[in-house]
Amino acid sequence: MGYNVLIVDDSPIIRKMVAKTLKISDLNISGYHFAENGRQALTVLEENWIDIVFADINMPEMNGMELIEEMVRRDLMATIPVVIISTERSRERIDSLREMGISAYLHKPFVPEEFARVVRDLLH
Amino acid sequence: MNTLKNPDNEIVLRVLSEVFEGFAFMFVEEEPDFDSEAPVECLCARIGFSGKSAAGVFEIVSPVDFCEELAENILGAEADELPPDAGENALKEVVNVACGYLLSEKFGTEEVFDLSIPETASVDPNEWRSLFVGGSYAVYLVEESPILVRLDSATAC
Repeated sequence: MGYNVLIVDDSPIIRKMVAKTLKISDLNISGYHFAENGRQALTVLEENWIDIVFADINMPEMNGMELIEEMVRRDLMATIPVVIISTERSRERIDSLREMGISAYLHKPFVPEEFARVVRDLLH
Repeated sequence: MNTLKNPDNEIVLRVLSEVFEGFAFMFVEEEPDFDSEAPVECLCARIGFSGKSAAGVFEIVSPVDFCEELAENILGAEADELPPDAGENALKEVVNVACGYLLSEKFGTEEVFDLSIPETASVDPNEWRSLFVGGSYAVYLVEESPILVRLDSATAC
Protein backbone atom coordinates (compact mmCIF):
# COMPACT_ATOMS: atom_id res chain seq x y z
CA MET A 1 0.00 0.00 0.00
CA GLY A 2 1.34 3.42 -0.97
CA TYR A 3 1.44 6.78 0.77
CA ASN A 4 -1.24 9.46 0.61
CA VAL A 5 0.00 13.00 0.02
CA LEU A 6 -1.68 16.39 0.35
CA ILE A 7 -0.40 19.27 -1.80
CA VAL A 8 -1.48 22.73 -0.59
CA ASP A 9 -0.82 25.70 -2.85
CA ASP A 10 -3.02 28.43 -4.33
CA SER A 11 -1.16 28.06 -7.64
CA PRO A 12 -2.62 25.24 -9.77
CA ILE A 13 0.62 25.05 -11.71
CA ILE A 14 2.63 24.38 -8.53
CA ARG A 15 0.13 21.74 -7.39
CA LYS A 16 0.56 19.97 -10.75
CA MET A 17 4.34 20.43 -10.69
CA VAL A 18 4.70 18.92 -7.19
CA ALA A 19 2.44 15.99 -8.11
CA LYS A 20 4.37 15.39 -11.31
CA THR A 21 7.69 15.48 -9.45
CA LEU A 22 6.36 12.91 -6.97
CA LYS A 23 5.15 10.69 -9.81
CA ILE A 24 8.55 10.61 -11.52
CA SER A 25 10.48 10.25 -8.25
CA ASP A 26 9.94 6.51 -7.87
CA LEU A 27 8.23 7.04 -4.51
CA ASN A 28 5.41 4.76 -3.50
CA ILE A 29 2.56 7.28 -3.67
CA SER A 30 -0.95 5.90 -4.08
CA GLY A 31 -3.19 8.88 -3.33
CA TYR A 32 -2.90 12.53 -4.34
CA HIS A 33 -5.02 15.13 -2.56
CA PHE A 34 -5.04 18.85 -3.31
CA ALA A 35 -6.04 22.06 -1.55
CA GLU A 36 -5.86 25.73 -2.53
CA ASN A 37 -5.33 27.09 0.98
CA GLY A 38 -4.97 26.08 4.62
CA ARG A 39 -8.71 25.95 5.26
CA GLN A 40 -9.34 23.49 2.43
CA ALA A 41 -6.31 21.51 3.59
CA LEU A 42 -7.80 21.07 7.09
CA THR A 43 -10.98 19.68 5.54
CA VAL A 44 -8.96 17.20 3.47
CA LEU A 45 -6.97 16.21 6.58
CA GLU A 46 -10.17 15.65 8.57
CA GLU A 47 -11.64 13.38 5.89
CA ASN A 48 -8.62 11.40 4.66
CA TRP A 49 -5.59 9.54 5.94
CA ILE A 50 -2.63 11.69 4.86
CA ASP A 51 1.00 10.59 5.31
CA ILE A 52 2.73 13.83 4.32
CA VAL A 53 1.74 17.43 3.56
CA PHE A 54 3.44 19.78 1.09
CA ALA A 55 2.40 23.38 1.70
CA ASP A 56 3.09 26.88 0.48
CA ILE A 57 3.14 29.78 2.97
CA ASN A 58 1.65 32.71 1.08
CA MET A 59 -1.96 31.67 0.36
CA PRO A 60 -5.33 33.44 0.64
CA GLU A 61 -7.91 32.65 3.37
CA MET A 62 -5.56 30.59 5.55
CA ASN A 63 -1.81 30.70 4.94
CA GLY A 64 0.75 27.96 5.54
CA MET A 65 1.80 29.17 9.00
CA GLU A 66 -1.83 29.26 10.17
CA LEU A 67 -2.34 25.77 8.74
CA ILE A 68 0.61 24.41 10.74
CA GLU A 69 -0.65 26.12 13.93
CA GLU A 70 -4.02 24.41 13.44
CA MET A 71 -2.43 21.04 12.72
CA VAL A 72 -0.28 21.25 15.86
CA ARG A 73 -3.42 21.91 17.96
CA ARG A 74 -5.16 18.76 16.69
CA ASP A 75 -3.79 15.48 18.04
CA LEU A 76 -4.50 13.43 14.91
CA MET A 77 -2.72 15.91 12.64
CA ALA A 78 0.13 17.01 14.89
CA THR A 79 2.48 14.22 13.86
CA ILE A 80 1.98 14.39 10.09
CA PRO A 81 5.23 15.54 8.43
CA VAL A 82 4.91 18.94 6.73
CA VAL A 83 7.26 20.06 3.96
CA ILE A 84 7.08 23.77 3.22
CA ILE A 85 7.73 24.74 -0.41
CA SER A 86 7.83 28.51 -0.63
CA THR A 87 9.39 31.68 -2.00
CA GLU A 88 10.05 32.78 1.59
CA ARG A 89 13.74 33.44 2.26
CA SER A 90 13.61 35.42 5.51
CA ARG A 91 15.77 33.63 8.07
CA GLU A 92 13.49 34.76 10.92
CA ARG A 93 10.39 33.32 9.26
CA ILE A 94 12.08 30.06 8.29
CA ASP A 95 13.39 29.68 11.87
CA SER A 96 9.84 30.25 13.14
CA LEU A 97 8.56 27.50 10.85
CA ARG A 98 11.23 25.10 12.13
CA GLU A 99 10.26 25.95 15.73
CA MET A 100 6.65 25.18 14.81
CA GLY A 101 7.80 21.68 13.87
CA ILE A 102 7.96 21.52 10.08
CA SER A 103 9.91 18.54 8.76
CA ALA A 104 11.67 20.28 5.86
CA TYR A 105 11.83 23.54 3.97
CA LEU A 106 12.39 23.85 0.21
CA HIS A 107 12.74 27.06 -1.79
CA LYS A 108 10.85 27.50 -5.03
CA PRO A 109 11.96 26.63 -7.63
CA PHE A 110 13.09 23.36 -6.07
CA VAL A 111 15.43 20.84 -7.65
CA PRO A 112 13.49 17.58 -8.31
CA GLU A 113 16.37 15.39 -7.06
CA GLU A 114 16.59 17.31 -3.76
CA PHE A 115 12.82 17.20 -3.42
CA ALA A 116 12.76 13.42 -3.93
CA ARG A 117 15.60 12.91 -1.43
CA VAL A 118 13.81 14.97 1.25
CA VAL A 119 10.53 13.10 0.74
CA ARG A 120 12.23 9.70 0.69
CA ASP A 121 14.02 10.48 3.99
CA LEU A 122 10.73 11.50 5.62
CA LEU A 123 8.67 8.57 4.41
CA HIS A 124 11.15 5.75 5.02
CA MET B 1 9.74 55.74 -5.82
CA ASN B 2 12.70 54.00 -7.45
CA THR B 3 12.37 51.95 -10.60
CA LEU B 4 15.08 49.54 -11.76
CA LYS B 5 18.54 51.14 -11.64
CA ASN B 6 21.71 49.61 -13.01
CA PRO B 7 22.80 47.81 -9.81
CA ASP B 8 19.27 46.35 -9.54
CA ASN B 9 19.43 45.18 -13.16
CA GLU B 10 22.34 42.91 -12.29
CA ILE B 11 20.44 41.39 -9.34
CA VAL B 12 17.26 41.05 -11.39
CA LEU B 13 19.12 39.29 -14.21
CA ARG B 14 20.66 36.82 -11.73
CA VAL B 15 17.31 36.18 -10.05
CA LEU B 16 15.36 35.82 -13.30
CA SER B 17 18.02 33.48 -14.67
CA GLU B 18 17.77 31.20 -11.63
CA VAL B 19 13.98 31.26 -11.57
CA PHE B 20 13.44 30.64 -15.29
CA GLU B 21 16.20 28.02 -15.47
CA GLY B 22 15.06 26.31 -12.27
CA PHE B 23 11.38 26.28 -13.15
CA ALA B 24 11.35 25.90 -16.89
CA PHE B 25 14.86 25.26 -18.26
CA MET B 26 14.66 28.63 -20.05
CA PHE B 27 17.58 31.01 -20.37
CA VAL B 28 17.50 34.76 -19.78
CA GLU B 29 19.57 37.61 -21.17
CA GLU B 30 19.41 41.38 -20.85
CA GLU B 31 18.28 43.29 -23.93
CA PRO B 32 18.57 47.03 -23.24
CA ASP B 33 18.29 47.94 -26.93
CA PHE B 34 15.14 45.93 -27.59
CA ASP B 35 12.57 47.58 -29.85
CA SER B 36 9.55 46.35 -31.74
CA GLU B 37 6.65 48.34 -33.13
CA ALA B 38 4.28 45.40 -33.57
CA PRO B 39 1.36 45.33 -31.10
CA VAL B 40 1.59 42.34 -28.79
CA GLU B 41 -1.16 40.74 -26.74
CA CYS B 42 0.31 40.52 -23.27
CA LEU B 43 -0.34 40.00 -19.58
CA CYS B 44 0.99 41.92 -16.61
CA ALA B 45 1.60 39.92 -13.42
CA ARG B 46 2.04 42.01 -10.31
CA ILE B 47 2.85 41.33 -6.66
CA GLY B 48 3.09 43.77 -3.76
CA PHE B 49 5.58 43.57 -0.91
CA SER B 50 6.07 45.36 2.40
CA GLY B 51 8.81 45.17 4.99
CA LYS B 52 10.57 47.34 7.57
CA SER B 53 12.95 48.94 5.09
CA ALA B 54 10.94 49.02 1.87
CA ALA B 55 7.56 48.48 0.25
CA GLY B 56 6.43 48.44 -3.35
CA VAL B 57 5.46 46.30 -6.30
CA PHE B 58 7.21 43.94 -8.67
CA GLU B 59 5.81 43.39 -12.16
CA ILE B 60 6.51 41.24 -15.19
CA VAL B 61 4.77 41.98 -18.48
CA SER B 62 4.89 39.11 -20.94
CA PRO B 63 3.40 38.23 -24.33
CA VAL B 64 0.51 35.78 -23.89
CA ASP B 65 2.18 33.31 -26.29
CA PHE B 66 5.25 33.24 -24.08
CA CYS B 67 3.14 32.58 -20.95
CA GLU B 68 1.80 29.45 -22.61
CA GLU B 69 5.29 28.32 -23.61
CA LEU B 70 6.38 28.93 -20.02
CA ALA B 71 3.56 26.72 -18.68
CA GLU B 72 4.47 23.97 -21.15
CA ASN B 73 8.07 24.04 -19.96
CA ILE B 74 7.22 24.14 -16.25
CA LEU B 75 4.91 21.16 -16.52
CA GLY B 76 6.75 19.34 -19.27
CA ALA B 77 3.47 19.15 -21.17
CA GLU B 78 2.23 19.84 -24.68
CA ALA B 79 0.00 22.87 -25.35
CA ASP B 80 -3.12 20.71 -25.82
CA GLU B 81 -2.56 19.04 -22.43
CA LEU B 82 -2.62 22.33 -20.49
CA PRO B 83 -5.65 23.69 -18.61
CA PRO B 84 -7.07 26.98 -20.00
CA ASP B 85 -5.41 29.33 -17.50
CA ALA B 86 -2.03 27.59 -17.35
CA GLY B 87 -0.10 30.42 -19.02
CA GLU B 88 -1.52 33.06 -16.71
CA ASN B 89 -0.87 30.88 -13.66
CA ALA B 90 2.69 30.21 -14.79
CA LEU B 91 3.43 33.92 -15.06
CA LYS B 92 1.85 34.57 -11.64
CA GLU B 93 4.05 31.92 -10.06
CA VAL B 94 7.19 33.25 -11.70
CA VAL B 95 6.47 36.78 -10.45
CA ASN B 96 5.81 35.36 -6.97
CA VAL B 97 9.03 33.35 -6.81
CA ALA B 98 11.17 36.02 -8.48
CA CYS B 99 9.90 38.71 -6.08
CA GLY B 100 10.69 36.67 -2.95
CA TYR B 101 14.14 35.84 -4.25
CA LEU B 102 14.81 39.39 -5.44
CA LEU B 103 13.93 40.90 -2.06
CA SER B 104 16.31 38.56 -0.24
CA GLU B 105 19.10 39.39 -2.71
CA LYS B 106 18.50 43.13 -2.46
CA PHE B 107 17.76 43.51 1.26
CA GLY B 108 19.22 40.32 2.77
CA THR B 109 17.63 37.35 4.52
CA GLU B 110 17.43 39.16 7.89
CA GLU B 111 14.62 41.33 6.56
CA VAL B 112 11.05 39.98 6.75
CA PHE B 113 8.72 40.88 3.87
CA ASP B 114 5.03 40.21 3.48
CA LEU B 115 4.01 39.46 -0.10
CA SER B 116 0.54 39.95 -1.55
CA ILE B 117 -1.20 37.29 -3.62
CA PRO B 118 -0.03 37.79 -7.25
CA GLU B 119 -2.55 39.18 -9.72
CA THR B 120 -2.65 39.47 -13.50
CA ALA B 121 -4.24 41.93 -15.89
CA SER B 122 -4.41 42.15 -19.67
CA VAL B 123 -2.43 44.93 -21.31
CA ASP B 124 -3.74 46.67 -24.42
CA PRO B 125 -1.60 45.34 -27.32
CA ASN B 126 -1.07 48.90 -28.53
CA GLU B 127 0.44 49.89 -25.17
CA TRP B 128 3.15 47.21 -25.31
CA ARG B 129 5.74 49.40 -27.03
CA SER B 130 5.09 52.43 -24.82
CA LEU B 131 5.95 50.33 -21.75
CA PHE B 132 9.54 49.64 -22.72
CA VAL B 133 10.16 52.87 -24.66
CA GLY B 134 9.15 54.85 -21.57
CA GLY B 135 12.07 53.42 -19.60
CA SER B 136 10.07 52.29 -16.57
CA TYR B 137 10.60 48.63 -17.46
CA ALA B 138 13.82 46.75 -18.09
CA VAL B 139 13.68 44.34 -21.04
CA TYR B 140 14.99 40.78 -20.84
CA LEU B 141 14.87 38.05 -23.42
CA VAL B 142 13.80 34.60 -22.27
CA GLU B 143 14.57 32.12 -25.05
CA GLU B 144 14.33 35.09 -27.45
CA SER B 145 10.93 36.24 -26.19
CA PRO B 146 10.89 39.71 -24.59
CA ILE B 147 9.57 40.22 -21.06
CA LEU B 148 9.37 43.58 -19.30
CA VAL B 149 10.30 43.82 -15.63
CA ARG B 150 9.74 46.60 -13.14
CA LEU B 151 10.55 46.92 -9.45
CA ASP B 152 9.03 49.97 -7.80
CA SER B 153 10.10 50.34 -4.22
CA ALA B 154 9.88 53.14 -1.72
CA THR B 155 12.15 53.15 1.30
CA ALA B 156 10.14 52.97 4.49
CA CYS B 157 10.58 55.68 7.11
